[in-house]
Amino acid sequence: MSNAPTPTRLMLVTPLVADAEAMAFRLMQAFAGGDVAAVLLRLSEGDERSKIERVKRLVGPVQSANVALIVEAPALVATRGGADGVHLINGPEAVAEARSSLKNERIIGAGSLRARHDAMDIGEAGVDYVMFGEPRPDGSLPPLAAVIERASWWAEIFETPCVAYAPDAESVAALVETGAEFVALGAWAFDEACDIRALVTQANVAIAAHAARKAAR
Amino acid sequence: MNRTCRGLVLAGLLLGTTAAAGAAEPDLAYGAYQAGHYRRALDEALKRVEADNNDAAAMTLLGEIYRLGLGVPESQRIATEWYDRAAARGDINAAYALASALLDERSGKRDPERAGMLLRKAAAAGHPAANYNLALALLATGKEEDDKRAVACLEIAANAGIGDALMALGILSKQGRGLPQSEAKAAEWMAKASQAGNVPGEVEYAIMLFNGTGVAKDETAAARLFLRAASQGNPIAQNRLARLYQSGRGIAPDSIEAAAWHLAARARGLEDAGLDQLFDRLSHEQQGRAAALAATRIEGAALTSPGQASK
Repeated sequence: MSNAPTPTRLMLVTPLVADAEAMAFRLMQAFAGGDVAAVLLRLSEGDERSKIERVKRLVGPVQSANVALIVEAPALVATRGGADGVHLINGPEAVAEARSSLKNERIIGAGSLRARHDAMDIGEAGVDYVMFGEPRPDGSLPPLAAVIERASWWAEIFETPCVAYAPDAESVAALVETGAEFVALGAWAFDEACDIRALVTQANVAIAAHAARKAAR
Repeated sequence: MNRTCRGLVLAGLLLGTTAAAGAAEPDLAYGAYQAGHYRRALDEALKRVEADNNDAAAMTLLGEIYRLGLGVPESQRIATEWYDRAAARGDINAAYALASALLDERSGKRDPERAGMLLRKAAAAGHPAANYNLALALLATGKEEDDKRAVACLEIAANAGIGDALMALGILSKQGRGLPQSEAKAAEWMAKASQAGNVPGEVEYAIMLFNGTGVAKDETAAARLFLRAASQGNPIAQNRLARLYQSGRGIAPDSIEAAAWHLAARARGLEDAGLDQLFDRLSHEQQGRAAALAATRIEGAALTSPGQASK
């Protein structure tokens, strides 16, 4: 993996979305800032139909910008809504189940991987990416140093791409250095006070700077 | 045809957006757009949408920026998303732009039925280009009552100075389709189309002037008009002008000019055996001069006529 220098790309992880239309504007704003590979959409509570409806409303704005839409939801919600993939947080069994229903037509990603062996198990279950560093269910964040260590280890050894979740704008550059295939800007980037477009631009600048340094070596 | 439509889309949008901008406080986004500062226009428009999720004019502007790829990579799909949102909030220019996008594969959501609905909506709200395009669709049905409706639409577009609409009314008057047959009326419409800078209108009106159809015969005025249309790259005008130079009607005879305009027209695929003979009878030196003149005209027209400059 390490000798195939695919440049890192950005992922955006949304806060829990209730109002899809407002999120559509926020995302279109973000895409105007530069390259984004994927959006991981997280949905607030609601019945299945309302969740599918929200996915449907976001598919257009996201896919029209050549960005993949991945939903943290049951496979059914993602497929009915027209999304490109699902993000699963319930271990290898859930991945196997989703794989059997989605075949190879959609992206399957996994998060909530606490220990190294969790990540290795899920990697073997055949996911398209693993995510490290996102907030735990209680909202607390793993220490940045641990995330850097985990992402570097994974990127060095495994073929399966990994996503390094940045807990704030300052850590983006350090996470790009790990060689992770994706760096994710989290829900914090969607705060009212944040200029998400500028954040996307800055993150892409950090990525380009890293690539330039690597090429120079 | 495709090119004409795309040109019209822009004309319609610009007309409408100016009007909308006049009503509100100084429009920074649109001002920047007009001045050619596209990145700033994008900034301002995005800021406005962030502040107010119902700012349809800003969304339309964003659609326009993405459709034309001004300071951003061109994307019909992103443009369509913005138009869609602006149209949902009642923006008529966006409804028209969305209708055009939905007829185009590159929007990623081709939907002719919805496009027709939006076009009718924009036309009913008085959007000139929408009226023109709706008229074309109505004329295509071949039903008599649709011809009448088409004329009503064309009149709205014509009032806004759309040359193609003036020209269309001229043709319909000539044919007596959807309105009473009248050469005099036809000549009036053609004259207006020609004044609006519509090149086919210039050619038609020049022919009517030359033959004295529906208007007092005036070969000199006809020649002047052919010269204008010929300079804009119209091959029919170039051919007719060449014949006038050959015969000396309406203009002082000049075989070199005749040969040069003939070569220009022939380069666009318009053959004329009589003018070929004229060219063959010229001396080598004269043929060279005619060819050199023709070359500048072919190039000049490619640079100045709007339809030809596009990629």
